[in-house]
Amino acid sequence: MSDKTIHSVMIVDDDKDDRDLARRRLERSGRYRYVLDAADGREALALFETYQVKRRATPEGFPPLLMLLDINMPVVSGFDLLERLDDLAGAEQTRVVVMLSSSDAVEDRTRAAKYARVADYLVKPLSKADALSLADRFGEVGQ
Amino acid sequence: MVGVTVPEAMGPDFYRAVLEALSELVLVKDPESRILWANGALRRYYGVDQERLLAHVDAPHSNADDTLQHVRDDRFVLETGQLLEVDEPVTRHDGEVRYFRTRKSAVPGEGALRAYTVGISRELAGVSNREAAAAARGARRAELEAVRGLVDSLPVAVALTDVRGHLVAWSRGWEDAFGGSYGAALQAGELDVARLVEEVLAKEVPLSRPAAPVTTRAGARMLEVELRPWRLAERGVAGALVLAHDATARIAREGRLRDANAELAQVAYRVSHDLVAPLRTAIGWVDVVREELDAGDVEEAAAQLTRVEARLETLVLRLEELSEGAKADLVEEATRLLDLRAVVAEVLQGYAADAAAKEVSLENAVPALRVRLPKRALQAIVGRVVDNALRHGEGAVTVRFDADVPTLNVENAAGPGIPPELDIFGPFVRGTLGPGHGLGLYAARKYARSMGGELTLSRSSSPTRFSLAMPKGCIEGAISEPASGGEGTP
Repeated sequence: MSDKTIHSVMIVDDDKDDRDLARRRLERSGRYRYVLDAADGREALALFETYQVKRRATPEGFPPLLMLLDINMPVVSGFDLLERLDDLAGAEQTRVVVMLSSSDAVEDRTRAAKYARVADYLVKPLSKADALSLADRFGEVGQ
Repeated sequence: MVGVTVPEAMGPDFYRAVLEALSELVLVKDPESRILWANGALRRYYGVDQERLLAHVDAPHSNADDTLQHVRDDRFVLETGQLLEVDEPVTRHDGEVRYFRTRKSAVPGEGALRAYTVGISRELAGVSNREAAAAARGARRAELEAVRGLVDSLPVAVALTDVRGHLVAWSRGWEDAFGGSYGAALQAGELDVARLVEEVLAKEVPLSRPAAPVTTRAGARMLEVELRPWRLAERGVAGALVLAHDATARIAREGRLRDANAELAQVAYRVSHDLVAPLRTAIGWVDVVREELDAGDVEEAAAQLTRVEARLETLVLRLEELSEGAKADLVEEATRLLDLRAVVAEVLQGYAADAAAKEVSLENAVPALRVRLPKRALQAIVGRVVDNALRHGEGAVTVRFDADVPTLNVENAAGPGIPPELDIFGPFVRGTLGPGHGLGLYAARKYARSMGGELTLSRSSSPTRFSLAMPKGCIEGAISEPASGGEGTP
């Protein structure tokens, strides 16, 4: 069994139940040290925007290496956030983004593939196997 | 030679002088039948000088039917290279018609081209000749009148021009479509039919143009045209046939169909996300419940079951709202006389408990007004916008009527603010993170459009305002005493 771990992951999803479920899966896998979350794209943006000026005020583990990003969110969608991520201080450390969606829509999958930092596209709910697989793929040994 | 003096240089002046001296009428034309030169006899007969004739197809006073025949004869000569001898009427400058025998021939140009026609006309002397020419002219006129009669009775919009592009006849269908404004329809908007007629006559090939906006006496129209050269017997092209089709209604229908298809595609896309989402979440939490049960923690399993239950309820509500939105498209409700103020009061009454729970006021500032509208649709629109305000806003909700525009406005004193670029009326589109499925305003706009109105977000920043533009002609006036139950006097 792999012992790769990820120092920090952030879940961005406006659905509280989906957020809670993903958090539970990630935490219970024992492979993620910090699990952060944002209630929507706008909140995630705000975290990155304040990171430069209020570094101490950001949560421990920020910025995350991995972001699990829901596509369908009001106001600032997952794709909106992706568009703006390159211009945000600290976002360069978030090297891997995995898109989350309730459906396996070809148009969304195709669109997501155009972004360099998008490594995968997962259909919700996040499973135990997904949590382990992500750590194996993007984690490091002995973190 | 003896006794004959020959000019040393027989240049253009010499030949011109010879032609000017002839008592016959001499006329030279280009391949488009435009006059290049006429001798003195012809100019005197027409009563015009050389400049006024130049580049014209015929003298301005000439009979259109005669000109039509002249041009057809020119074409015959140019195309065949044969000499043509015709007895034809020629109208004098004072309107008198005399009969001439014209011999028309082509002047060779470069290669095989025939560059000009030259006609020499001598007045017919004998009575029998003149009568024969008059009879021929009468026959041609009768032929043209028959064509005019046929065109006139056509139910479609058709116009005929002669070879000069001048109008010869138009149908009743044309009058119906364009209010008889043939000229306006020819030149108006982006469709220059006169130029198309020229092109058809020059190339002698049919052509058509897709629908383009034109302004006629009958109003703004989208007009499609098809043009063809038309011929009389075997005497060549006689003019252009213009077939016009008013595509306004069809294009509007196509536009609506495209919009409906785009909306359907959007709904299908959103349904795949928003209806499936609660199910997927429920599946995830069912898995958690199983884990807890396997671990023997029944209490925790029961707690997580409530999440499953809540998600399934969400799904039911979304399906109901979606179904309600679809009804707005399918159900055609009859209009009736209503008291607008009373209808708004009824709707607000239905939300009184919700408003009280949020400690915000609901105000009905609509005057007593008699309107003719479908009641259920009006209630659905006002209800959904008020519901939206209560769900997402924090301040008082006021419904007003603006008589100037006229619109029914729902204002939220402390609305959340909605990004103006967001299509808040799209299916499953939510402007805030608050509760809701993004279907209420979608259905409200559908109801507004189904009754001939329009629902817009007229102020996106707080205080937010939604405006229902009232359907044209629905307002019948103020009423002194509003009827109960929202029903106006019949």
